[in-house]
Amino acid sequence: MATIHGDALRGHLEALILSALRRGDAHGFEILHRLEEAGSGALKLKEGSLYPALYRLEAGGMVKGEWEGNETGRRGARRRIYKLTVKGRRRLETARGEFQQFVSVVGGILGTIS
Amino acid sequence: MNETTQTQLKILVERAVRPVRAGVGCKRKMRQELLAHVTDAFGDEMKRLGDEQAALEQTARRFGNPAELTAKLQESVPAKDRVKRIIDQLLFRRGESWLAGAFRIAILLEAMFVTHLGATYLLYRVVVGRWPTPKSPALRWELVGFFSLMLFGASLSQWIMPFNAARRRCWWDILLFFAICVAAALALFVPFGRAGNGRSFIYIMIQLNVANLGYMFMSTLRRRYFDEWERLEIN
Repeated sequence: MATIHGDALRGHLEALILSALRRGDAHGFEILHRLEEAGSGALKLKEGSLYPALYRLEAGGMVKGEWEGNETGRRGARRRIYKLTVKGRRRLETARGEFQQFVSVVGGILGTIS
Repeated sequence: MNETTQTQLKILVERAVRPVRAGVGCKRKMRQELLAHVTDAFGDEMKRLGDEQAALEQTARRFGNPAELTAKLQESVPAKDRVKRIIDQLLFRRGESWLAGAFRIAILLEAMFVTHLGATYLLYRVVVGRWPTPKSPALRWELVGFFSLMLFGASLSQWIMPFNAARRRCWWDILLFFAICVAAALALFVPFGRAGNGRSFIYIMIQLNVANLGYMFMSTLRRRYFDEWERLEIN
């Protein structure tokens, strides 16, 4: 299977994150694992780019972040656990609908052309 | 993980975060979270590759281009963070001499003092129906005296801070600082006969100490933070 890189995901990353959080609260690293797992290894993100998307979702009230206790004892490093909000769930449903429409329309055109 | 590896991971994060124009709090959040991420990624790579240098290189590849990440992080900074950034810039500046910093802080605190005084007078005017009638020389003295004390306090705390950062303990310095402040205030007030006016003296001392305590506290946190991240050589 061909690898899908971050650039091809432009505009969809936020919905993918919301989808990963439907499985339960998670920190950034865990979200990334869930996405890679769900993409069967075909999804390759530049890992840092996950966080700006998370910050935008948080600012938009679609996820809620809370700091994890610093049990790891790693100085200066702290995980933030993200939780899907009601607004985030609604946005995810909308994004699913939009994407299905996109696939249907673009897929139909590509199918016709080929 | 040894200290050198930890520093390398911090540098990786700092390359992306330092150029972001955001308040200290916002950047702290980015740094902490991104450092936690690269630490986890490094742990993965160490298990897979078994070689520290190779694991570091692979972690950097996974993390992505710092300049691109900077741009994305910048876009994610909320507009309301601008106010916090302005306050941070008013209070702390990189590479500024201690004396310039002391003057800036003293002017800032004096402006706050004058605003507070003005607001109090205005409130008095609204409530009582006439302007308060302080003795003019006393008011002038309080304005000048307050600025002198603030300048002295800010200079002292700016001067003390580097020593705190090295020791990472500052309680004795703070006590010493307050002792010197009280002594300085007494030295300034007593010759002018102001110490005899108990209420005025206590009023000014409370303002002086509250302002300096706040500044000391923020400076100490800032200095520790500065040492941990902003002194990293990222180029």
